[in-house]
Amino acid sequence: MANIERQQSWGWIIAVYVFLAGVGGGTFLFSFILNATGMYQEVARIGALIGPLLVLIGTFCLLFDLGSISRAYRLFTTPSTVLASWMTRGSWFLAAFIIVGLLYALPAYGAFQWLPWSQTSGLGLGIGIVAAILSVLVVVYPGFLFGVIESIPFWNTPTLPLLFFLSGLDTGIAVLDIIALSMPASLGVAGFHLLGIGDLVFLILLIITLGAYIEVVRQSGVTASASIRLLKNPVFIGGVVILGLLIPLAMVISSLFVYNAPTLYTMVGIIGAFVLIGGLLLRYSVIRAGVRITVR
Amino acid sequence: MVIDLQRCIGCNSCTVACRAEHGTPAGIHYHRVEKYEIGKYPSARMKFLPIPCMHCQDPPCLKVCPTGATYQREDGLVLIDDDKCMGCRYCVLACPYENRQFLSAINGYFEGHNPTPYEMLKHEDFEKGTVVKCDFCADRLAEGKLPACVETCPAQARYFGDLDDPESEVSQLIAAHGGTRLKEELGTNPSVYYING
Repeated sequence: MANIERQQSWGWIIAVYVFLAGVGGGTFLFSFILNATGMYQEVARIGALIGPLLVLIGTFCLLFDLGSISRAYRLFTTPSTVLASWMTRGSWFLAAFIIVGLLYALPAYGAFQWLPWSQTSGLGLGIGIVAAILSVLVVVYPGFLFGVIESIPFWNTPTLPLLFFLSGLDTGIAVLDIIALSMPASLGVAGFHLLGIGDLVFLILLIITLGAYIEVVRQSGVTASASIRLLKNPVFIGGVVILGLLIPLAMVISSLFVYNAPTLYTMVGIIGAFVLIGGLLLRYSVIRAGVRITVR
Repeated sequence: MVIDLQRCIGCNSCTVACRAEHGTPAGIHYHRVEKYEIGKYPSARMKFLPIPCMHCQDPPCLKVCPTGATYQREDGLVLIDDDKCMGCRYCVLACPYENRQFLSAINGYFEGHNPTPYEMLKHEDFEKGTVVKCDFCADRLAEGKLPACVETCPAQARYFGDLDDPESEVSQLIAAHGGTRLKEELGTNPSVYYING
């Protein structure tokens, strides 16, 4: 039996970052879609701003985790590494998304109305489309960042980018849920039910993807199955699976049949909070369970 | 580099010579010898596997480095420019041979005491917050010397030379004994060959 050695390089700070990149990107993407389709713009206006800000906070986590932070500028001054390193690519995605995302979000606020575009003008829509594409890249690329590491088989799978993408979208809706609760009248019961259907779709996709990921990886070699064994802990089973997926799933389904506003709002708040906690713990669990192949 | 596993006695002189040569801070080692048992009693025995940096010809650490700090020299050596390393540790994860380490602190070996004059001198070469690894003693090579581990090995289990030259001692050894390399299936194309394994 080979020794089990977890990677020790990246820890909870990186987990928080990957989580915030997912949440921020997901929140922005849905806010843009709502805005562009003219639905619930009060909520979308706030979501479009919160998205890039969450990603910005995540980026500070990344910087804070560096050994020599003063050299981080090199990410943008060594273009040759773009051809090979997902970290360089990701840095460009992050920087571009934060800038373009804010350019899209800010004109909706009084202090920035001097900007020569709005979210509904042609130029504003163009900026929004670019930002939306960047938001998808920001959500997905951490999956590639981890996925290309061949020495850690648990990460080295094509499912990881998809898993992070779905969780990003899932947690993005959760943030919209919570924003909407601060102004419930703007959505009404029908609006919350619409968000609930979004919640339901992404929770189901996430459960299927996570299940497939774990089962396939479990069967794909000694090191990979060692990672899966490490997931048998309260954080993953209790925090990710039960609190983050199964309880929200049951509550979302039942909330679709609730028409009493106060009860519905309470349920939506709990669903949102649980989904967010589950999303964070999912990133943490994936990172912590990264077992290295043995050299011999 | 060629390592003859039949000659290796697992004494770790290579590891010690490496530490002495580079003056690596406590907890940092560019070289290690993995010891393990094969077979079952009564025919069980110990095996030793010395592991320096493989100086891969297709190094995964170089591919992931986002700042250009890791580079490959014309002669094949894979080195780190510590003025360019930002300490993200992506390469530490990518190296399948666990040869890279993050220098989170520069500590002397004698805890509670001041560093020795030798440590003080050697530690000037290190920069906290960067990643370090075996450089095949690039400084010694420049002076025409062999890497410290090769020169030290009391069992003469290590050979160093030009793998591109078919007449070199290392190439001849590989031709005669058929060398194996670690984790070849990953496509890293290591420059360290093991013979008589």
